[in-house]
Amino acid sequence: MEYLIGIIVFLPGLVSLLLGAFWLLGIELSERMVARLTGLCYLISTGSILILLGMMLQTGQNEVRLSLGNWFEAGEYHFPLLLVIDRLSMPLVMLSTVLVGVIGAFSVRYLHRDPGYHRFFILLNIFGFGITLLFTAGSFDMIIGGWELVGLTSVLLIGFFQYRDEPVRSAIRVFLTYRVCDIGLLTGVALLHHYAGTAIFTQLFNATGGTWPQGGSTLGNGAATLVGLLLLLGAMGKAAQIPFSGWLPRAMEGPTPSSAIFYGALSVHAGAYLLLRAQPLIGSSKVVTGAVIVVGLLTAIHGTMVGRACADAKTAIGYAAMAQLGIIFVEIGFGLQWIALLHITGHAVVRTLQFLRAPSMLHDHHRIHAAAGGHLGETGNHFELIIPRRLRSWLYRLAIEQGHHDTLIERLGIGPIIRLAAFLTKVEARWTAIIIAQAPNPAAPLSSRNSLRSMKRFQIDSINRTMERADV
Amino acid sequence: MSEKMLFPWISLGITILAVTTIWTWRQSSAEKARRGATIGLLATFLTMLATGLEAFRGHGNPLAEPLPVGEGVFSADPLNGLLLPLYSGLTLGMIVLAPRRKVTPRWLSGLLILAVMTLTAYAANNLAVFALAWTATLIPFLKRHFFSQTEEHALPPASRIILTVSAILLVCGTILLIMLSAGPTLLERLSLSQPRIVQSGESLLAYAAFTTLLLAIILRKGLFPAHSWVAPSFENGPLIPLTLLFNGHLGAFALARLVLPLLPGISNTALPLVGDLGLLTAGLAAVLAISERSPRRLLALLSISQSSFIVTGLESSNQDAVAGALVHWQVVVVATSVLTAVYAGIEARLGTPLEGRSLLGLARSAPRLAVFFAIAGLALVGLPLTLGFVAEDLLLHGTLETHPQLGFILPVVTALNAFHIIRLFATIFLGRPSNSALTIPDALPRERWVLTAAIVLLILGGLFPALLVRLPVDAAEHILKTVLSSATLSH
Repeated sequence: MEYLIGIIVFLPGLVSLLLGAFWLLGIELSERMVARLTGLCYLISTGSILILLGMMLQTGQNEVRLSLGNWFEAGEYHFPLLLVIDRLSMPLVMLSTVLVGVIGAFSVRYLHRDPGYHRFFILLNIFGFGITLLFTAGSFDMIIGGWELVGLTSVLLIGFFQYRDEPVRSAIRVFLTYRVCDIGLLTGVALLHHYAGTAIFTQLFNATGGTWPQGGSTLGNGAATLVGLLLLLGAMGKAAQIPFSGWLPRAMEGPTPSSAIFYGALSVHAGAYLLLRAQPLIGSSKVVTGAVIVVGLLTAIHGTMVGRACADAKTAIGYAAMAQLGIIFVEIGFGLQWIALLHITGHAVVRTLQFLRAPSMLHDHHRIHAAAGGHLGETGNHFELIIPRRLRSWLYRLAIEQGHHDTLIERLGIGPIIRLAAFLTKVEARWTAIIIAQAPNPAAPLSSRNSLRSMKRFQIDSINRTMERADV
Repeated sequence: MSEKMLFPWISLGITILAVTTIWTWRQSSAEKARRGATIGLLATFLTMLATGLEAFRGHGNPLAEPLPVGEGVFSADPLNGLLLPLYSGLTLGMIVLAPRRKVTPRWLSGLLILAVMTLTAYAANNLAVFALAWTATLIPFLKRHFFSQTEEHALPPASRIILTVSAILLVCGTILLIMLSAGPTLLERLSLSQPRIVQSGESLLAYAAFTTLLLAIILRKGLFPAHSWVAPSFENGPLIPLTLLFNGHLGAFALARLVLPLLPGISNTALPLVGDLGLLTAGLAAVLAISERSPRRLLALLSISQSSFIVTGLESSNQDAVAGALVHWQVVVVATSVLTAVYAGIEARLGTPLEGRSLLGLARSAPRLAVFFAIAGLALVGLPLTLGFVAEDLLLHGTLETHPQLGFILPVVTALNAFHIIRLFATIFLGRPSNSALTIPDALPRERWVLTAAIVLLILGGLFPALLVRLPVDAAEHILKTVLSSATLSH
C-alpha cells in the first residue's frame, strides 16, 4: 500500500517531464491531449489517495511510510528518501490532488488558445509534484525540495503574461521575498543537522513513539528557539505574514487559475503546514509560540483592514486569505493543531471557489440582484459602525496606503542593503582603478550610480525611491 | 605506483589535441578548422572518458601509463579521472556552441592550446610539467594572435598582469617545493604521486612555498581581494575563452594537488583562512551584483560567487565537504558554461553586447534558449532536482563542523544569486520584444543538442545523483588519503 504514495507524488512530476520533453523535441501536443494527460494524472492520484485512506482506515494505521533508500551518500552522510502519509498530510495531499485536478480542468477553457497554454500545464504539473512532495516529505530536507519547486512555479506563473512589464516586475519582487524567507528555512534545517544530527521527523519528534500530533522535541530550549524562529521566518514568506505580506497583492498578476491554486488554496498554506509539522519544536519554546501568535495577529488585523479598502476583487480575496492565514498562525501558536488543520482545509476550498468565480463576480451579482427582484440590501457598515467616525476615516486612509507597509520595508529592509551594495560598488570601482594603475576613473562612481538607476526601470517603484535616497 | 593503466589514454588524447591545435593554426578556412577541431576534441574526449573509467577501476590508487619512455609524466587518479572528461567535454561543447562569426582558425587554436594545457596540468604527475602547463594556459590570453583577432577586445592589461604574476608565483612555489622534496633521483623528487615530497612541514622554506602557492591560487581563482580582475575581463574580453579559462579552476586544482598533499602541516593551520576568503568572496560578489546591470559583469560575479565555495569545501578536509566541492565544481563548470554560451549566442544574434537597461523579451523568438538559460541558472544556485541541490546539500553538511558560518552564508549567497539569475533571465528573455528581437532564431540544431546534453546532465544528475556523486566521493577519498599519508610521513 505504501507504493501508492509514490504514485501520488511522482506521477505529476513524470507528466511535467513528459510535456517538457515533447516541447523541447518540437513535438506539438494538442491542447486536448495536454488536458487529458493532466486530467488522467490527477484522477489516478486522487484514486490512489482514496484507496490509501480506505486501507488505512481498515487497518487502523495512523501512518504509512515509503522509504526509497538513500538518494545519495557520501562518507557517513546520506540523504534518505522518505515519504510519509499521516494524519497531518492525508487531508492536505487529498486536497492537493483534487484541487490541482479541478484547476487543470478549469484552465482548459480559461486558457484556450493562449500562447502559454502548454507552459501553464507544465508548470501546473511541476507545482502538483512540488506540493505533494512537500506534504508527504518525511524530513525537513525533503520539505526544502518541495518548498523550492512550489516557490519557483509560483513566480513563473506570476510572470505568465511575460509580454507585459508589470507581471515580470511583480514576479521578481515575489521571488525576492520568497528567497529572503527561504534563508530562514535553509539555515534552520542546517542548524537542525548541527544540533540534532538529523532532520527526519520521526527521529526529531517521535523518539518516544507515537505519530503526529504526538511527540516532543529532542532539542534544548535555546536550540529549539533559534531553529523555531528560523522556521517561522521561512513560513512567514510563503504564508504572506507581516512584514513579508507585500508580495501577495502583486502575485495577482498571474492567470486566475494559478492565483486560485497558489494564493487561495495550497501554496499560501505551505507555511502553516511547516509550522504544524514542526509543532513539537515550536511548542517547546515560549518565545517561538509567542512570535507565531504576534505575527499571526498582526497579519490578521492588517489583512482585514487593507482588504476592506481594496478596489479589485482578486486583491480583496488575497487580503482576506492573508487575514485567515494570520488566524491559522494564531491557532498554531496556541497549540490548536486540529483546529488549524481543519481551518486550512476549509479555507483552501472556499478561496479556490472565490478566486475561480472572481472574473464572473459582476455577472453573479447581477443574477442575484435580478433574482431578488432588485432589492438586495447594502453590504458593509457592520463592524465599521463600532469605530468612532474620526478614527474610521484615519483607518481608511491607512488601509488605502496598505498600512505604509511598502514604505517601511523599503526604509528598514531593502534600503540598507541597496546602500551597502552601492557603497561596495563604489569601493570596488576605485579598487579596480588602483589595480589597473590608472587615475581613478571619474566615471566610476557615476557608473555605479547609473547601474543603481538602471534598477529603477527594473524593480518595483518602492525600491527605486529608496535607491535614489541611498544614491545621493 | 605499482598499478598501470591498460592503455596510455592520456598521452594519446593530449597528443591528438596537440596535433589538432597545430593543424588548426595552419588552416585558412574557418569552417574547415572548426570541423577539424571538433573531430580532434571528440577523439580527445573519448580518450579522457576512457581515462576516467580506468581511474575508477584503480580503487583510488593512481595508475601510471604503460609507456616504455616518459613513464611518470602523466597518471590517472579519481580526481583527474573526474576532471579530464569534464573539461574536454566542456571544450568540445563550447566549440560547437561558439557563434560562427567569432570563430577563426587562430581563435580556435587559442582555445585548443588552453584545452591541451589544462588537460596536461590535470593529468600531470610531475611538478615541473604541472607548473609549465599551468603557466602555458595563459599563452592565448597574453599573446595578441589568438582572441583579439575578432571584434572582441583582448583581456584588460591589469588582468593580464595579475594572471602573469599568478603564473610566476606558481613557478616560484614549485621550485621551492622541489627544493624541499626528498628523493634519490630528480624524477622522484618531481613526482606528485609519492607522498614523500616534503621533508619538514614547518620549516621557513615550507612556509615560503606555502605562501607563494597560496598567492598564486588566490590570484588565479579570483578570491578576495584579487576578485576584481574577473568582472572587467568578462566585460571586455573574449567571453567563451575566458569562461573556459575560469572553468578550468586551476587555482582550486593546485590547492587539491599541491598544497593539501605536499604541505599538510601548514595547510592544517593556515588553510582555514583560504576557506574564509572563499566565503568572503562569495558574499561580496553576490552583494556587488545587486547594483550591477551589465549581463556580462553579472555573469562574471555569479561565476565568482558560486565557484568560491569550491575552495571552502576543498579546504575543509572532510570527505562530505570535499565531495560536495567536487560535485559543485561540476555544476559550476556546466551551468556557467551554458549561461555564457547562451548569452554569447544572443549577443551574436543581436550583433551587440546587451546593456541590461530594459526587458528585451527574447523568449518570444527564442523560447528554447530561454529554457536552457533558466534551468542552468537555477541549477547553479541549487534548485531541487538538479545536481546543484545535491552539491549544496553535501557542501553544507560537510563544512558545518569546520565552517559553521557556511550554514548561514551559503543560504544567503545562494538566495541573492538566485535573485540575480532571475533578474538576468527577466532582462534578457521577458518583457515586450522589440522588432529586432522578434526576428532572431531560436536554438540552432547544433546548439540544441549540446545544450540539451548539458541540461540533461544537470537534471538527471539531480534525479539520480548516485553515479555522479560516487565519482567525487572516490576522488575526495583519494585526496584525503594522500593528505593523510603525507601528514603521517612528515611527522
